[in-house]
Amino acid sequence: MKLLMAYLKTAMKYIKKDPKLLVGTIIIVLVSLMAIFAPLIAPYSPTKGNLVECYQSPSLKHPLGTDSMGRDLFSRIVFGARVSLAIGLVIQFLSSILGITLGTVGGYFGKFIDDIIVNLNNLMLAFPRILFALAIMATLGPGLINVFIALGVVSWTTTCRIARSSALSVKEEEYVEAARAVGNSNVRIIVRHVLPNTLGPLIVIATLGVAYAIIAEATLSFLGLGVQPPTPSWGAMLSSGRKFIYYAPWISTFPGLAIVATILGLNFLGDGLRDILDPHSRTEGQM
Amino acid sequence: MFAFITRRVLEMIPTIILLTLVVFILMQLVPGDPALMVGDPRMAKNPEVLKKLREHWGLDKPLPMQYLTFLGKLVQGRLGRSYALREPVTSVIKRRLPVTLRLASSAILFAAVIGISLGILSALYKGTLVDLFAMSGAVFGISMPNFWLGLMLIYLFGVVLGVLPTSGFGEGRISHLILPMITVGTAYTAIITRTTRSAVLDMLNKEYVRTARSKGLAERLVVSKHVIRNALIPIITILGLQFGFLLTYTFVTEIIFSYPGMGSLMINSIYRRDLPTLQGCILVAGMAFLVINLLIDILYAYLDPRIRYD
Repeated sequence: MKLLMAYLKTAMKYIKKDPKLLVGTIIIVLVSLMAIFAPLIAPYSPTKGNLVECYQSPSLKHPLGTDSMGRDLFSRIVFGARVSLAIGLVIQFLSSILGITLGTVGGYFGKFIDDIIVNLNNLMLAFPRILFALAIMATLGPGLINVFIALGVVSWTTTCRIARSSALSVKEEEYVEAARAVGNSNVRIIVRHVLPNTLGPLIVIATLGVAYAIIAEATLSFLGLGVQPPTPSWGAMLSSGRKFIYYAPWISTFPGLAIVATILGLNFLGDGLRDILDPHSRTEGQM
Repeated sequence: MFAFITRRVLEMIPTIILLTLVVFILMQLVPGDPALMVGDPRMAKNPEVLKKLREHWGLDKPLPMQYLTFLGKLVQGRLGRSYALREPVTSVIKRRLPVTLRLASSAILFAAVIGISLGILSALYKGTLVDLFAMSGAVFGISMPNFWLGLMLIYLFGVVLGVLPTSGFGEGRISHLILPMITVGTAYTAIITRTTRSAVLDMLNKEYVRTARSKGLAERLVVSKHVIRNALIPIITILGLQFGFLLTYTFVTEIIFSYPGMGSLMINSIYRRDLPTLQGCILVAGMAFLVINLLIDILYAYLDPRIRYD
């Protein structure tokens, strides 16, 4: 508990210094709370509509209006936060595991394992990720699990590159040599000495990666290849409003604003964290 | 320079072969019998017809053979016939590709002009309102999904103001290009603005800039001759690195504005399960990406001679 307070205190010190970090943290905390307490916040069901009330513009009863099936948009957006955040986190988790494992193993062991991993990585970087993801989605068909697979498979490259370069530089350090000299196994050295030293940049990449994954999912869902109805995904909601943009523009506007706010928060958070954890590098995300 | 280009082109060959292999394997993994997709579903009940269809499309041969046939046809520029459009994929793509290239290049131009000027301005006037305005605009530009931006532009300019057409190619009229161009170019503009700003700020602290100033060179010349010229290298690098963004944005934008380019062709071929067309689109897009990267590398090596001797 004491330790946690100390951490919070340090975090507060940084947040006070950097307005970006402050804004980013506030947005992300709010969106997370919205996702966690969705059933308490949302006044209506996100999936059950009332056809009598379709295409209503924002009013006191429906603060953000209703969609083509008479569902309350505010409730759908609140529940959509769950879908989007969960997708962003799961995809980033999958690709981090893949990237960190491959990168650390390649950088630490070197030789031909490293060659294979580096070449695989370059090959992935040689093509736009979303093209790969689209091809995979076209092959597997739409659906949540397939979104995880497609975006997880294509998103590990940046993490891998950074984990690898950190592992490469750390492995020559004297404390790693010392650890080896006293008879530590390779696995133990990687887990205890190499990984902790690569954590800073990886956290930054992961934050920006979640933002990327959320946009990528929204893009796939917008194209009708991602999460399927009636699940309230922001991208799919936006897409469903496309047909009605001429007379019910709110159906597309508000889910889009939710995406913009979340991505903005994650970008601010990532930028702010980079200034603290990884001041030397200026890696941008790659799509 | 020639040796550098030759080496880079040769390096592309394994990547191209892998691209074809990946595309081929993905197409094999698509569930469903391709023979069933080609023909009339009523005929599919007849095993004789199915067998004929398989023989006709070469689907009865072993996979490695099918891959080699596919590769052989590819070298001759044959991509098969589209199931849905009933014409050779190559001729569809020939019609669609220029449309996408026009949209993408106008978006790059738009992004480069606005992004580089905003970036230079906000670096030169760092900490002022101009800087604040440009930087917040850039963060917004990066955080906005471009399909949302596209819809908002349609609503604003097409519905509320009613000044610009919101759908279709319009036989190539400029008015039909404006909204899609802004939709594709905005995020790219934001990235270029940020990169330009940090590159120019970097250069302003360099010693040769101080020297140029101390020898009495006019500030305008210091900026144009020493700062901007050197700042171009990182800007071009980021242009290349982020090219995937542009491709994605173009695809999605074409769908929103019913723009008849490669993107809408590819997405629609996914909906229609038109595998030959999809396969052709992925191959062409992948190749285009490789060629652009090659051009950027060459440009980069031209601007920064140190690269050539790595």
